[in-house]
Amino acid sequence: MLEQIINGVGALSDPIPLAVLGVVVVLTVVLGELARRDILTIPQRRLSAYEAVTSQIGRAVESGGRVHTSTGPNSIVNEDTGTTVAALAILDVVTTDATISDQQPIATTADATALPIISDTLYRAYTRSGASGKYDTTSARLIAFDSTTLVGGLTVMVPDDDLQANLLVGSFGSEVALAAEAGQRHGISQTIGSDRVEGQAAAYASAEHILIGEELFVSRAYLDEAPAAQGGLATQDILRWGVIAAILVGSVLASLGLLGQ
Amino acid sequence: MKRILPTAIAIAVGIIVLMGYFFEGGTITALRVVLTGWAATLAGLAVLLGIINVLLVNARRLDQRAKGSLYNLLTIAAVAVTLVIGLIEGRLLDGTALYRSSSATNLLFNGVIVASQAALASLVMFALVFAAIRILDRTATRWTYLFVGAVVIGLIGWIPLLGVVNTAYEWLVAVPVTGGVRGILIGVALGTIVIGVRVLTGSERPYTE
Repeated sequence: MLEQIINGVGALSDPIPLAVLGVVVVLTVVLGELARRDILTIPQRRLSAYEAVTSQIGRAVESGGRVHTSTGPNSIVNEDTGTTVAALAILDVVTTDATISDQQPIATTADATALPIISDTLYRAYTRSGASGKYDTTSARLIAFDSTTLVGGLTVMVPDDDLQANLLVGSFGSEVALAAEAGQRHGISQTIGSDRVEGQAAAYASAEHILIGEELFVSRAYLDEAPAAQGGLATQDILRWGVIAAILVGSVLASLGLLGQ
Repeated sequence: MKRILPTAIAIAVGIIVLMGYFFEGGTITALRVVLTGWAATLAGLAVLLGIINVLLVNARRLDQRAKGSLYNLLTIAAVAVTLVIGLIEGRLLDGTALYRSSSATNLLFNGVIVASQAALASLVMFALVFAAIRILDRTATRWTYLFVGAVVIGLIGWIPLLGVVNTAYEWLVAVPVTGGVRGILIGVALGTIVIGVRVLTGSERPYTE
């Protein structure tokens, strides 16, 4: 029986990544649980982009305009799924806040696999707010099949759909500057987050609020303040300090000639 | 039940696929292949759903006589024409129409889609230059000046025979830029791992409440 199970699982190729993953799982679960029971308070540094999101939505709703969130060209079936999940968390919170508006919030994507889940996220936000009847299926839109054409489409959407808040969160490259430029021309408030370095550089130059590096992935902890998400935030911080320590130790060892080439 | 079942399926599938990368040669690897095959099939079907969405959104705007509805009509017509040509040529040429230079599908792809993407991409440079100019008006902090300074050195550093500027450019790219990029990418990787773990443990559920 044991042999059958072992044969079923197969041979372990490399134990180190699995061990690291195990540590991350344990840290995330334990720290999340401690945060949930109020035993541990996870410190949060100020992130102006997340602080601005609530006021962005408020201004858009008051001015009678729409809130737009784009999850970019990333999919839910490949290596950028993590970015899509982070973008969906932002979409969830933003839509829940924006459902009080007469104008439907809009969500766009450039990946067909992300479309059903975006649509579902919008619907669930309306249901949660007790306004499922207001949900319009066309508020989730597939604009294109690539990032460049997506931002091309977004430049037209800003005036045509009367967008008053623009949140672009996904795997955008430097082309995100086109969408940001259109937003600036119409004087709307924008937040841009990308997991790509070129996208972050373009966003720094062209948007008021930006999410750099890992900031994109902590949206749930900052916007929703969910205890489980706080655990993830703390794990991320611990891992970051671990990487910093490894780099410093590695540098010292390499300088002393104690590290193999 | 409505909440537990999707979460249980997502966690189980996630663990099987992940473990399939760590363990070789067992049933778990075979299961991973089957599950990723299903995902690929579903992704293909999602494209059909996407086309229906494009048609619905544009038809709705056309019906409402929304601003720019002429473009919505053009989009619907373009989808219909491309779909019909693609289906006919796909059947006649055994699905190789896109790769044959003489086909109308190839002409539509290279002459319209690739050309319009190239045109859009060429506008990015202008948008970036405008953004770099505007940034000084918007928020003139020391970080802004540092950013603009780096952009200027980055642009003129390409010009040969400028001595110290070329050296500054090379140092800028080799040391702070490379270091910064690596730092950001490590941050993105850590964020991706943690959010992946949160999905695996069921604390992040984009598919259910």
